[in-house]
Amino acid sequence: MNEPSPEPHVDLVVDAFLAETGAEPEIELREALVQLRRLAATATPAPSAELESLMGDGAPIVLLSSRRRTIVLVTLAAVSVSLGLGVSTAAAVSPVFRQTAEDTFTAIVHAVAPGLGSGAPVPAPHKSAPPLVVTPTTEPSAVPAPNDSTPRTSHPTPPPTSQRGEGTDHRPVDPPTPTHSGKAVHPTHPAHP
Amino acid sequence: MDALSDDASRPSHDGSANLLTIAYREFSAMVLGYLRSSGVDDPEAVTQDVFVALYPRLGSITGGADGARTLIFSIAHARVVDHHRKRSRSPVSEAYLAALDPRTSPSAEDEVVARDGEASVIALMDLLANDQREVLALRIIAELSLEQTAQVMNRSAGAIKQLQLRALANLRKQVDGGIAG
Repeated sequence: MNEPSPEPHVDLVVDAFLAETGAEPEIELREALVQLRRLAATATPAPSAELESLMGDGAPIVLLSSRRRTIVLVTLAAVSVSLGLGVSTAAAVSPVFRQTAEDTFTAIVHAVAPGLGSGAPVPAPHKSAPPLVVTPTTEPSAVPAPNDSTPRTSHPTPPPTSQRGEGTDHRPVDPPTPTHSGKAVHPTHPAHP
Repeated sequence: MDALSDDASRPSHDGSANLLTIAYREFSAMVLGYLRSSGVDDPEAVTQDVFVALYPRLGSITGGADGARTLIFSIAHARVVDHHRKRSRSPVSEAYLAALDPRTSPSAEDEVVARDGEASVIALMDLLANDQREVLALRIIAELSLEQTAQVMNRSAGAIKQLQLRALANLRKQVDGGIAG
């Protein structure tokens, strides 16, 4: 009997990548990639004052670890499926997780900005439900680390920067230009005392 | 049909604020991890910058969640490229860390692997070329597809395929304790 992995999503991401590239899944290499993926498994960083002002009085940021976010997303996926969102269970395992997160986001995008994004219409979430299942907090930055027993180092570590490989990426750094220029929403800072 | 061609479909300020909140909640940890793996100075602050820069562009997102993810990491990638370009112009003097110097001992990588996982993988990534590190981080941390990664790095999907193979080969070499070419 196989013991369930404590980080199924991490395993899925890494294994799917190794399978796609056809690389031999050597233990050491795989472990390095797992460690790399764990860099994203930190708690959501507390937003800066500037970001908070842009977020306005919207939904509170809850500092969830990646693992808890996955649980929330999986929960939402179950709700979404029951609403007819139709995530295909016949798809490969990793795409299911990926699709789950993306469908959730898409549903939320349509809920808060119906005209935004593209793709097929997504059923509106339940009227009485907030966009995400979160626990409201009054002081996001004061939220303690989640009770996650997984021994993860979530605190930031100053990145070592010596001996970096020579750079080869010297193309222009502008991100891809949006297809629809001139559609940008200009930030309007809400008046916060 | 282009939903964004209709001005009425633009998110209101409240809508944008909600979208920003959701995007931050869903992707900020990934962005932070990506920036840390890329060796950016003060990755927390740059993470905040990425989302501040995202805000006025929320209305330009197409492709739903895929589009949002691609745009967010395009912004983050631009910050990383800027960082390395700036650093290549004016090298930063840093404290010498023998454990991170692959010349000092053939067991440097072994030591790296044996140390705390997070620090070790950052050190390992540091041994890769910039584009190799980027492709691995975008595929593994950001969970971008081959095509999304190609879009973010402004390369063809075929080029990304080759790049990630070279990156894996180099990473394997580092992990195995070999001397990178």
